[in-house]
Amino acid sequence: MGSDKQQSILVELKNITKRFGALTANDRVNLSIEKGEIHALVGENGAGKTTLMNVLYGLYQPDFGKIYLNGTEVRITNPKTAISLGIGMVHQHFMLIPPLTVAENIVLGEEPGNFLAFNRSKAISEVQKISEKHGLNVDPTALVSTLSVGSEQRVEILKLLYRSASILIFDEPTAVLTPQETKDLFRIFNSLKKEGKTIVFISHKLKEVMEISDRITVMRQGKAVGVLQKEKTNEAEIARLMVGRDVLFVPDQEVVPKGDIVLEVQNLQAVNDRGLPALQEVSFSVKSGEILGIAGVAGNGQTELAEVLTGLRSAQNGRIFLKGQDVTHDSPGEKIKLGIAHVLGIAHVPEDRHKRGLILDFPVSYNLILGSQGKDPFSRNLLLDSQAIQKFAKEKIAEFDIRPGDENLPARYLSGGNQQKVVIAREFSRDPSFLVISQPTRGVDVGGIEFIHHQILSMKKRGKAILLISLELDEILNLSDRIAVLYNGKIVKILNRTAATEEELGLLMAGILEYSSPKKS
Amino acid sequence: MKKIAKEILLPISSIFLAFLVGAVIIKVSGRSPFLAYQSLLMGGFGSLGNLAQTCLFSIPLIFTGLSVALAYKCGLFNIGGEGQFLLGGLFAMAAAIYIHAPFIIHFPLCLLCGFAGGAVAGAIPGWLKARYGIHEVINTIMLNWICLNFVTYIVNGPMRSHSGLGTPEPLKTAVPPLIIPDSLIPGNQLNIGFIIAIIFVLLVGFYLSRTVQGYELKAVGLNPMAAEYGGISISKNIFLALCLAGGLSGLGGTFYYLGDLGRIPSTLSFPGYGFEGIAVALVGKLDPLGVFLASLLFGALESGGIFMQLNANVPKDLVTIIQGLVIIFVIAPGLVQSVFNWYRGKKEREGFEYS
Ligand SMILES: Nc1ncnc2c1ncn2[C@@H]1O[C@H](COP(=O)(O)OP(=O)(O)OP(=O)(O)O)[C@@H](O)[C@H]1O
Ligand SMILES: [Mg+2]
Repeated sequence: MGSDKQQSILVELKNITKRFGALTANDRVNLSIEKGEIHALVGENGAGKTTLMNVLYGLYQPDFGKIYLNGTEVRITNPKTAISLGIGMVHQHFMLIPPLTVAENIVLGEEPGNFLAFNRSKAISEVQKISEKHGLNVDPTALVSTLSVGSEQRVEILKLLYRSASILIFDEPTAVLTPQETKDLFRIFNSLKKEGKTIVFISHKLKEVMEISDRITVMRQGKAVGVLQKEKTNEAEIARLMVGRDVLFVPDQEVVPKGDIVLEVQNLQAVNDRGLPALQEVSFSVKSGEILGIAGVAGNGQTELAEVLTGLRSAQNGRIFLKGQDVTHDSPGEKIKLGIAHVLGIAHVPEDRHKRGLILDFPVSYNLILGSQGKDPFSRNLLLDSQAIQKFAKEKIAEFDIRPGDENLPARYLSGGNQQKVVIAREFSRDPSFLVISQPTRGVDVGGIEFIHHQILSMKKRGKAILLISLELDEILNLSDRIAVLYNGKIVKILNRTAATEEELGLLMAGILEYSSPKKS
Repeated sequence: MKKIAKEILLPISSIFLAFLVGAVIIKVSGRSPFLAYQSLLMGGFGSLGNLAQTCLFSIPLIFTGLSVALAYKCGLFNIGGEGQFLLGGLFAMAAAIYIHAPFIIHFPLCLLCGFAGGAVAGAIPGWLKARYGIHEVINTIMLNWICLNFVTYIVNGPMRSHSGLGTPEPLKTAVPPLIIPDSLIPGNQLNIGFIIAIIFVLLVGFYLSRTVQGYELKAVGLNPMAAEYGGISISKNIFLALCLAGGLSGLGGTFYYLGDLGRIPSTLSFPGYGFEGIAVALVGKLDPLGVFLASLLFGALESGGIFMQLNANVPKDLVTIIQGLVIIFVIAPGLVQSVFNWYRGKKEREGFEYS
């Protein structure tokens, strides 16, 4: 029995320790991955999952510890070695070259042909072959710049398969996917597994973990604290192991008396980056003490809606009223007023923390004042008041449990979930009257989700008006008072949460139920 | 503390490696590296006079280096140092020749004009980039040529002196005074520009790290989308950054032409300080203090090189080679780091085993 098991173990990490300065990101971690399994790696933000996988992929050198492949020790000094050993990794941020085609991206560095001529048709046919075999369904001749996130990810997978990887590592592959794309990805996972490939995947979504994985390794504060068999565990147990206490999955919804209308949007119209209509006839209002959830499949105008409301994109038509005051700054051609949101006291948690939410090379303390850098406690006479900035940062780090608690660390070195907490901490501290919150828990662990949801609800209790945009239907259902479904740039319907069912929302989001013009707000 | 040590250790070992490779090259060319470096060192720091020369050579580099570093903090690659240097020099020279005022007014006025001249040469590409998104590398390079020809024309036309050597000499009240009197170190030309350069090192450092404006400028450089989200105007900062960068290069030109040369010569070519400023900024890790130290290094190589050529019969071109090597080793810290890692890794792998 014991030897049987020995044989099926493909990769074994032993006593892996990785330190960053004083911080121990991986502390004597043991991990064994069996051949042909789907192995999930879960743990709180900052638990060290990404670090561990970067060690396996050769991006980081462990301070101590050894890696065994098929029972023999290997030294993986760089990703190239990893790939030659059959280990491939898909990072959360894809590494593709947008102006090149799918096939060109895939063969890059290992192009077929001789050194004078690149054999394009061979590249295309080979890519096509692999793609069909696993039902990946991407067109090798398409330009990467035209692909959706889900397709880009499949290109990354193809890249690994083209290099004949047998162990595929995925760092939070589903964080950016729509539910449908996630389903497709899991179908691909299963097909790869049938091929005998081994998959390691990191996720914060325990539902998915329970759905797809065979075994689950739980990490906490740099240590591997348990290995679970899928059949013998459940979400609650995983969460408890991760966080070290019980986690509430559904936040307590308190009924808060609603106040006056804070934000009113009438007939809003806007275009996307390519100049195509992204929002049409969008009208709604949000009252004080109310959360209006925006449900919808990605790419139906959510991004543009958030940007128009916060002055980052101009409205082509329509009006936006904040507490009765017209703040539209509209009419095409007229320059939008930058950062108007923060001037007016609108807080904005942007959907992509790396794109807009953070300046990754600024320290945490500087990120916590972005948008307020010229305002009272943080600056005087055009000079930054570093004492005030530090003090504020220390307070927020304690209040929002941002780890590691070093305000001078560049935000880049925080784990994804902690980066999100920095954004949330900053925006929620503005004392705004209206908040636009987009994808607040993307890439955040269960404990963090619970915390952020709690914060959102407490903002509501304090009488804030909140627009919550999320691709997670659960999140919308758990937090909102009313739910507006966005489809194709239009609000198809606004329902009361109590009246909404998942089925109806699903149909509305898919554009199957009919568009009923929302005349009243 | 450990971090600071590491920050300093790496560039120093890069420089050391550059000299090591340089030694091999000297050896191969059949000369004695020991002798060459001895005279290089002597020439750079060997006497008070040589030290003064080193500092003098570093003045324009400090300004152009700061110029490149400042623009870079806003995400801009300022290749226009040459043109800004020239135009700044021209403005300052005009003020130095045509305005009559006591030193206390005249000299600062010349500096102001020099800054303004450089700022104009920075403002044009700044505006083109901010308004139309035209890439600053192209703008600044092209403007270099425009400035060169414009200044050549002015110097040989309207501002031509009777001697025909170029512009007249600046009025006495506009010449940067010497720091150390000639009686103490005979023949030294080190002027007050060095002290003003040090003040600017501190000013730029302060501006970047302590002011709201510096915060916003860096934010635009690091992530324009997030800066915009934070209410920071991208175009305003781009324009401002290139104006300031231009002004700094212009000050470099001011001291060079009013001080070192004492005129703008009629046969004009690119002075080279603008380009060398890029090297200095990179070697100085785009940090004001680093720029200062790198400028001193380059200044020492310059003054030491002349000395070396005279005394060790090693051509001054070797200095250019060493400059190149320094740049390579500093810009590719991975190279030096990997040597470190290899060494440390070897020791650790041998010495430690986890139970
Ligand atoms: N290059 C680095 N320098 C310094 N600290 C780092 C670095 N990379 C990671 N860390 C720290 O190491 C710890 C582990 O980070 P890691 O990214 O592995 O977490 P994670 O489990 O992947 O978290 P998340 O779920 O949020 O992505 C964190 O505290 C992080 O701040
Ligand atoms: Mg991670």
